Amino acid sequence: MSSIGQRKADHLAICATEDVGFREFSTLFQDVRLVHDALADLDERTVDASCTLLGKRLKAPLFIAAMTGGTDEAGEINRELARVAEEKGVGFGLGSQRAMHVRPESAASYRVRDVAPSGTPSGTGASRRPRASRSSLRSASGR
Amino acid sequence: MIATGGVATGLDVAKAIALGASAAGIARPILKALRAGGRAGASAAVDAIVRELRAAMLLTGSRDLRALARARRVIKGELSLWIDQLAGH
Repeated sequence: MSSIGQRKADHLAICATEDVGFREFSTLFQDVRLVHDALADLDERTVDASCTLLGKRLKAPLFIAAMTGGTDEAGEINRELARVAEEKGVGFGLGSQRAMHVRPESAASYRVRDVAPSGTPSGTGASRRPRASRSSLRSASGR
Repeated sequence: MIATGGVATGLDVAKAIALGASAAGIARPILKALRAGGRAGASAAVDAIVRELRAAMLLTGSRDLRALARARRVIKGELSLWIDQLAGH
């Protein structure tokens, strides 16, 4: 496996199995308290969490974040998660597409449009290779 | 603005929206759920996150995300220090 492919595989294995969260540092979300409104004239059914993100209607302001690509295993994970995102009406981000430019033959691992026709694939790694982002999105979307 | 990096729960998503994000991205908890329980596991993880977000909306009296963005919140501890000390920089 090429070094970038190996790195992607390692990244997946480590994130899925080991504790890679912050230790000394954190998101500091624990320092945010939302204030309870006990008199809200609402019930569960009237809460509307939907939104429009990048021109797509989502059932919640959520996307399964950019994670991976570049290897067969990563491709399978992308497709599984894209399918879940499609079913749940949330967005989906493809992982660092730098691998796709270094090794064009890995493009298939980013192809999810067939399982997530209405999803919101977002290209990442674009900051490193700005001119590559358009072709990478086209490749990912199969268009 | 989209919040990503360490976002783990529906409550984190609600807090991110209340702080000004328009959406949040979650990676690792869903990848872990996929590894542990396949697509059904990942699907259940997404359901749990959305359920928790909706509960936070209900409890803060936020009918929709626009209301959640205006929900009252208190910022304490280290995050409060960051805001104070970086204000105006």
